[in-house]
Amino acid sequence: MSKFSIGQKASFTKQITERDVATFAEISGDKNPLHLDDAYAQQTRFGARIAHGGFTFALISAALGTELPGPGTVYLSQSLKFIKPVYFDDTITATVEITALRADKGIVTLKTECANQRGEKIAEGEAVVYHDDAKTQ
Amino acid sequence: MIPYVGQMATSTRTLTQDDFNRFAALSGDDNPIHVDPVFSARTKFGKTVCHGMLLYTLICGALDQHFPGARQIDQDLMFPTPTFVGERVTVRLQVIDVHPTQHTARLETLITRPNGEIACQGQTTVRWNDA
Repeated sequence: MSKFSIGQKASFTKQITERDVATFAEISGDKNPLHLDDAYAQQTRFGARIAHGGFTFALISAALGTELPGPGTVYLSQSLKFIKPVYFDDTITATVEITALRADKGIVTLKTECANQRGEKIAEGEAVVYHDDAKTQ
Repeated sequence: MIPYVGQMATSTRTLTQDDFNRFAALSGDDNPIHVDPVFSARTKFGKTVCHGMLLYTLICGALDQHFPGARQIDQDLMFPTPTFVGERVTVRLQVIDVHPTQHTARLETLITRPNGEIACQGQTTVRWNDA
């Protein structure tokens, strides 16, 4: 029997700081002024600097890689739709929930969602991953 | 600048263990397969593997470099083969659809490894007018 089951859930929470956004900009090379330039961001419809949308991917990756299915997870695919912006100092919770299991192949499909501290959904999508423990012995 | 169908741009980047370590600290994903060379040497991979989402951030960087002002609305990603530390990857963006009135464009996003294998393949929708 696989140690995983449909409906199983886990989450990973992180506050996104200004320093995180600066680090993300450095690693990715994405220096869009919407993330880095106060004066520019204030003139946009967001009214303030926002975090890179892709940051939510990073938190989903953390939920998958450290919580469910956990260490040993290999990413096969991820889709994500960005719904609302993430502002600095927002606390984002990435939740992953198993929706399908293929025990013969060790493949796990999960619904992935990110919400902020106000409970607003900021991103949603689906991940497909491989994990040894999802395989029937 | 308005993107046009067929427009293509590429960037390259060599992935270092320092990149993996920083991304692990940033994301919280410190799976040993990404950050522990000794552990990774004992796995079937033999060395540390790039976080899938670190590859994705290179797409963000390439978008900013080649399509400044574009903001992502969605992204699909597939990771057909693992990418290892020390590899020089190529990020290629190609515009496949443009909706000028909605200020949106659809792009194919492709990351290839030095041996030509696909590391990451997908599509994204971007919007370029947020003012």
